[in-house]
Amino acid sequence: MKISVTVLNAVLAVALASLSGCAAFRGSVRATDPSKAPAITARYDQADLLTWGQVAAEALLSHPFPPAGESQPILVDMGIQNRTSTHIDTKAITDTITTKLMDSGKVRLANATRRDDLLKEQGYQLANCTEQTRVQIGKQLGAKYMLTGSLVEISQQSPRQVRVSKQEDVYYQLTVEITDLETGLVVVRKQPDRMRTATRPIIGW
Amino acid sequence: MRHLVQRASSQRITDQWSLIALASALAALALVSGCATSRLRDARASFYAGRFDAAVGELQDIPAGNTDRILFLMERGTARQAGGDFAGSIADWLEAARIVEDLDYVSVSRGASSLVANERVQAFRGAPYERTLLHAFAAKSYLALGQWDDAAVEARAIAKSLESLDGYPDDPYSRYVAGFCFEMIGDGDGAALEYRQAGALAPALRIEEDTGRILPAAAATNTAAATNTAADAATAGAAGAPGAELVCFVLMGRAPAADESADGTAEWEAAPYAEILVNGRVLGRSYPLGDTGRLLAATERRRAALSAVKTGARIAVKGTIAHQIAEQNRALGGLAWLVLFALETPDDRRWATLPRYMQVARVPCPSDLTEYTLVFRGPGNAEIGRTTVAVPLSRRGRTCVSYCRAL
Repeated sequence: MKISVTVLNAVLAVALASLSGCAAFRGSVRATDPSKAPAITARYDQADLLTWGQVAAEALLSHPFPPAGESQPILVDMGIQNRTSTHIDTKAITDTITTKLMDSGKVRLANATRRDDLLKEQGYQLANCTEQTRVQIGKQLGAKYMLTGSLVEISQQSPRQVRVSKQEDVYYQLTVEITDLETGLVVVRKQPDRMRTATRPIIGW
Repeated sequence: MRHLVQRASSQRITDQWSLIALASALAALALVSGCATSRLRDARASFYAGRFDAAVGELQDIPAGNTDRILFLMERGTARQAGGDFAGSIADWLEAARIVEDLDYVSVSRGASSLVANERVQAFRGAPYERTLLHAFAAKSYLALGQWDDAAVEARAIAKSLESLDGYPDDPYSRYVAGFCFEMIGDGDGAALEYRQAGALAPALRIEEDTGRILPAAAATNTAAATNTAADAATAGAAGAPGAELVCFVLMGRAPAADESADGTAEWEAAPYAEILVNGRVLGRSYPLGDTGRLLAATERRRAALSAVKTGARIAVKGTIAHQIAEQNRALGGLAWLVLFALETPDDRRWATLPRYMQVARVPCPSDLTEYTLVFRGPGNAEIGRTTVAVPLSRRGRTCVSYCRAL
């Protein structure tokens, strides 16, 4: 029985394709360490959330905060303002920071639901209340300190020119500050930041 | 002799198969080249008939990988916003903006297909002004929900998309929306910058950088602005009065359709405007900041040269293919010629539910404002229509924010 070379080659090609391609065409799920997962874009991701939470909390506590002599003062979280061009859940950042501050055992945290109720009573949401209202609500909650902040972004893209890939630099700066509600003075301010560059091809299939 | 007959017969069979294969390939090409989908057409018809839920229903399931996916999302977002589903409209427009970013590359396969079919096989990304308006409209939905920080995020996206226009038209309306969003979060510098740029693009108006107030320029030549002196006086007279203020984004008419000139639709011709009434008293009027007809015309002018080159190249490629086939088989070549040139249709995909005129009214109002009436006026101050608006009407401090779409 003769098998033509063409048929043999075709069978071989199909077999090779099956062997090499099966993994590529199969879906898979695997657990990944969120802090070690490689970044896919230059934009905000889970690594930023975890890093900033950690860095900001450590920086605040090492200031030193709270000052010596104050035993577990109450801190109220009044939100971090998103001043970027991306819809970022900044509440997740404050939650991460406040969780780490609480874990340190050095501060107590005012209840966020109670805070929101008080804001609602006065016709506000956390995102749109004024500085005065924040201070007033903080005092009503019995807090000694208020945590606020902002997240800013500066991004740049490579200009139009003959090239095969596009480069984007994205810089984020997170400012976190703690204000003494009695004196109105900012007692701690920290600014973790990061810059990331991503390139992507401008020609694709 | 028998051998020759067999060869001729075999040749006929091969030709038939070639014919079928070519016809199938060309039919497939015709299908993927994106004939105007009836769903989009039906949805737009429902939208302009005021049946917003029906329009959303028509666009409920967007086929994965559809080249018009962004267009579907643009249209569905508009229908959702008009129907009061602000969160839904935001979701659609953010998704559209995300895909626009993902598609920011040159597709070799679609580029090659477009050379033998038409531009419609390329994924629709929208004209630059449409991409900017995605953010401006999303910002208004956030404003309607009172999510000021999120509206400001969209304002930054507007500013970013207007950064490097590369010859495409700038949009004073989007700039004003961005300025207002910045103003709402207390970013006075950002607001002033956008108001200044909006003012520079609308020379018939004077936009105050520090307040965002709009008045006709001293030497305004705008006919509509000059004729409505009563409303102007009302606005100017109450300008310095302390109290609440209503900022209303007024959208009128419909964007020029594919088969229409960019110069206007009959019903909303000659830059109409809207008067704002509360309890029968005129509080002021709207002023024109954007016109999608002009934006489209300027965009087409910018694209004209590139479009002509691409069309020329495509015709050359199609001619070559048909000629090559005709050399092998005259009938097949004729068919190929017919099909390839039948595919030669212009790419007229547009965000068709956009308004024609985009205006802003910024007037003093009662602090307990719960609703207001808009009276739309056309040439000679003739009333075109009127509507009472209670939703959306959000407020921050003394500023009430609302918008209205007149179809």
